[in-house]
Amino acid sequence: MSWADLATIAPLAAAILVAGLVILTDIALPGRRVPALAVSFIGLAVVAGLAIAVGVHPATAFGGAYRVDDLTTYLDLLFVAVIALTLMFAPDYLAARDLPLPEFAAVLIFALSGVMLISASADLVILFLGLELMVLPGYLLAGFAKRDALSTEGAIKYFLLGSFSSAIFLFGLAFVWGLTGTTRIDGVAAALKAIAGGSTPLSPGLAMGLAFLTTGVAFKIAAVPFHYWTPDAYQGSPTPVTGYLSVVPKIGAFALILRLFVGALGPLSADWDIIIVLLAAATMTLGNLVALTQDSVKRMLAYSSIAHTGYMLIGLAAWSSPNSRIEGLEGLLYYGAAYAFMNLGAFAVIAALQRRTGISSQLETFAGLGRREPLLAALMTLFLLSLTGIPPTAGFFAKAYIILAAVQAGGPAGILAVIAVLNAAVAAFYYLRVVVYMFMRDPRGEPAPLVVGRLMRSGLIVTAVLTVLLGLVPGLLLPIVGNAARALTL
Amino acid sequence: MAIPDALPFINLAWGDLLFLILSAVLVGSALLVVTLRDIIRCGLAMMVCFAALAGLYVLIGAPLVAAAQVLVYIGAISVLVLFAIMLTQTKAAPARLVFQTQALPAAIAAAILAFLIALTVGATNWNAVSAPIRTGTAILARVLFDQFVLPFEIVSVLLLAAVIGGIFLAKREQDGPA
Amino acid sequence: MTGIWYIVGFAVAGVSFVFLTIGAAWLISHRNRGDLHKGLPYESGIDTFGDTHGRFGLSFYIYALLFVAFDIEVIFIYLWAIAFRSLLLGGFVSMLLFVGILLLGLAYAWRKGVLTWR
Repeated sequence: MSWADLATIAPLAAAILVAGLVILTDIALPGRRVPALAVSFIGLAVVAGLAIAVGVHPATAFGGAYRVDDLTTYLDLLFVAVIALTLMFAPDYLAARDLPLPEFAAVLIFALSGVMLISASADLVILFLGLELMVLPGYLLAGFAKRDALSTEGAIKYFLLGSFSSAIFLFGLAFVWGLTGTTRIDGVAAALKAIAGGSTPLSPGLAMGLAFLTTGVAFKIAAVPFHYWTPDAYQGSPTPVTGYLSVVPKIGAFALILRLFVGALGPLSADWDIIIVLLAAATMTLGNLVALTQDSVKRMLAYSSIAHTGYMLIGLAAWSSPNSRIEGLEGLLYYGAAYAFMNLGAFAVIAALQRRTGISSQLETFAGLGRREPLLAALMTLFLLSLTGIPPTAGFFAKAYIILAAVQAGGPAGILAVIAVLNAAVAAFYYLRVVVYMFMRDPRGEPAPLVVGRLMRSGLIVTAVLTVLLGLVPGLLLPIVGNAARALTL
Repeated sequence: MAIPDALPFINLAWGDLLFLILSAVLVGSALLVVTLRDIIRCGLAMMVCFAALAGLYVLIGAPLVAAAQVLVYIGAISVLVLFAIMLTQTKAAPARLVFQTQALPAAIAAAILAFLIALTVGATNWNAVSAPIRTGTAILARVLFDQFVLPFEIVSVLLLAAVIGGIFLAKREQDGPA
Repeated sequence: MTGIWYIVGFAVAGVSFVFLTIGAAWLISHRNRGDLHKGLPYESGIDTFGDTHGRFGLSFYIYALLFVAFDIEVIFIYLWAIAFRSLLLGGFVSMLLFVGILLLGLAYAWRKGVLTWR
C-alpha cells in the first residue's frame, strides 16, 4: 500500500469512514436522529467531492486490482445521489414506526461502499467482495421493520435466494479463474481472447462457468425466470427501503455486469449474447404482464422494476453487436440514472402517504389524492409518466435511446426493440391506472390530512427536477455517459 | 513394516481411499441434513458435513482452509445455528418442514446438476492455462498482505456491517435506548 | 511413507479416546436396574420439569453472533502472525486497521447494552 494507492481509493475510504462515523455518532449520542443524519449528509458530500477530484485522473491502485475511470466516477456519483435521496425519504417513515435512523444510515452507507467497490474493481476478488458488501446491507434493510412479520418474511426470502445466488456466482468465478489462471479482469479478458481467437469451441468448463455467472447475476438484477424473490421482498420491506432495493442493488448488479461480462468476458460475447436477448425479452414481457394484475401499488412497482431490468438488458444486448457498442452502453447507463430517480420518486410518494402506520399501498389509498394532496399527486403522476416513457420525461429519453441502440445493432437485438415498444404500450395501462385513481376516483371515507416533512419534500422535488431535466436536456448527462461507456470499451 | 503405496488387490491409492470415505461421509451427512425430521439432528448432521469438508480441504492441500473450516464453521457457525434453532423452536412447530413439499423435484434437479458438473469437469482440460498454485500457509500469508491488502480490509468492513445489522435485528427492543 | 503412520496413529488415538472414555464410564457407573427415581438427574431433589428442548435466551444468540465475526478475525490474525517478520510496518498498520474496524462493532454492541447479561 502506497500513498498513491490511498489517494486513488480516497472516495471508497471516505465512504467507509462516513459509515464508521455514523456508528460512532450513535455510540456517542445513542438513538439521536439529527446528528447521525447530519454526519451522513456531510460525509456523502465529501465522498462525492472526492469521487470527482479522483475521477479527473483515471488511475489504478493496488497493482491493478482497483481502477478508477470515467465509468467509476459516473457510477459513484449516481450511487451517492441515490443514497442521499433514500436518506431524505426514510426519516419520516422510520420515525412514525419507531425505527432507529443511525443504524439505517450506517448500513446504507456500507452498501454505498460496496457498490463503489464494484464500480472500481479490476479484480474478480474485489468484484465479489463488493457484491457481498452491497447486498448484505440489503438483507438487513429489508428486515428493518423487525416487528412486522411481512418485513421479516420478505427479508428471509431475499436473504436465502440472495446468498444462494451469490454462491452460484462465486462458483462461476471459480470456473473462470481455474481456466484462465488469473483473477485480474484484464488478464481474464486477455486469456479469453486467446481462447476465443483460436477456432477451438468453448470448453465445457468455461461454458459451465459462464452459465453459473449468468444465473447468479440474473438473480441479482431480478431477471425472469430468476425473479421470484422480488415481489415478496419488495412488498414486505419498509417503503423507503423498497425504493432503495429496487435501485441500488439492481444498478449495482448492472455495474458488476459491465465490469465482468463486458470487461472480462467480453471476448466471449458471441457465446452469451443470445442468452441476454432471451432474458431481456422474457423479463420485459412477464414483468409487465404480471404488473397488470396487481392491486397493491408497491407490488405493481416491484413487477414494473422487473420489466425495467429487461429494458436495461437491451443495452447489453446492443453492446454485443459491433454496430452499436458505445450506444448500447450509453443507453444502459442513461437508463440506469433515469430509472433510479423516477423509481425512487414513485416509492417516496408511497412512503409519504404511509407517514402514519397502517396505511396500505393498495390502489384505494390513492383514490382522490389529486384533490387531497395536489402536490404529491402531481409528483406521482410525473414519476409514473416517466416510468411509462412519455415525453418529455427522463423515462422517455432513456427508453428511446436504448431502443434506438437496439435498432442500430440489428439482429436479435433489433427484435428486442420491437418487443420493448409493445411492452411500453402494455405498461402504460397499469401506470396510468394509478393516475386515474388519483384524479378520478373519490376516496372512501375522509382520510386524515398528511404532513409531508421538509426533508421528504425537498427530496421529492430534487427527484422530480432530475426526472424532468434528464428528459428535457439529455445533453447534460449524455457526454458524461459517453465518456463512461468509452472508458469500458477502450 | 513397509506399507504398500496403494491399497492391495484393487490398487487404490491411500489418498483416493480417504477421499472416497470423506466424500461418502460428506454426501451422506448432507442428505441427513435435508431429510431428518428433528431439526436439532439436522444441525448436528451439518457439523459432520462441515468436518468431512475440512478433511477434503486437507486432502487437496489447503490446510489453512481446513483450519478455517474447523474454527469458523464447526466452532462458531454450528453453534450459532444450534442457538438459532433452540431460540425459535416450539412444540407447536410443524412436524414436516414446509420446504419438503418440493423435495422430489429439487432432488431431481440437484441430481441433474451434479451429473452435468461431473461431465463438465471431466471433459475440460484444466491443465491448459493454470500454473501450479502455491498454497503453503506462509506463502499465502505473504500474498495476502502483499497483493490482497484491499480485499483483506474490505473483509473487516463486511464483518462490521454484518455485526451491526445482526445485533440490530437480534437485540430486544428494550435493550438500550432505541 | 512415514506420513501415513502419523495419520493412522492419530486416527487410532482419536477414535480410541472416544470409545475408551465412554467405555470406562459405562464400566465404572452403577447400572440402573429399574428404579425410576435413581434415573432422575437429582435423585432426592425437585422433579425436573419442562422440556430439554426449551427456548434459549436471546443473549446466547448475540454472543454467538459476535463470536462468528471475531472467529473469522482470528484466522486472519493467524496468517498475519506467520508473516509478521517479513511484513514490517505495513503489515502492522493493515492489521491495526482491520482490528480497529471490527472493534467498532464491539463498541456498538457494548453501547447498545447487548453485552450485559440478563
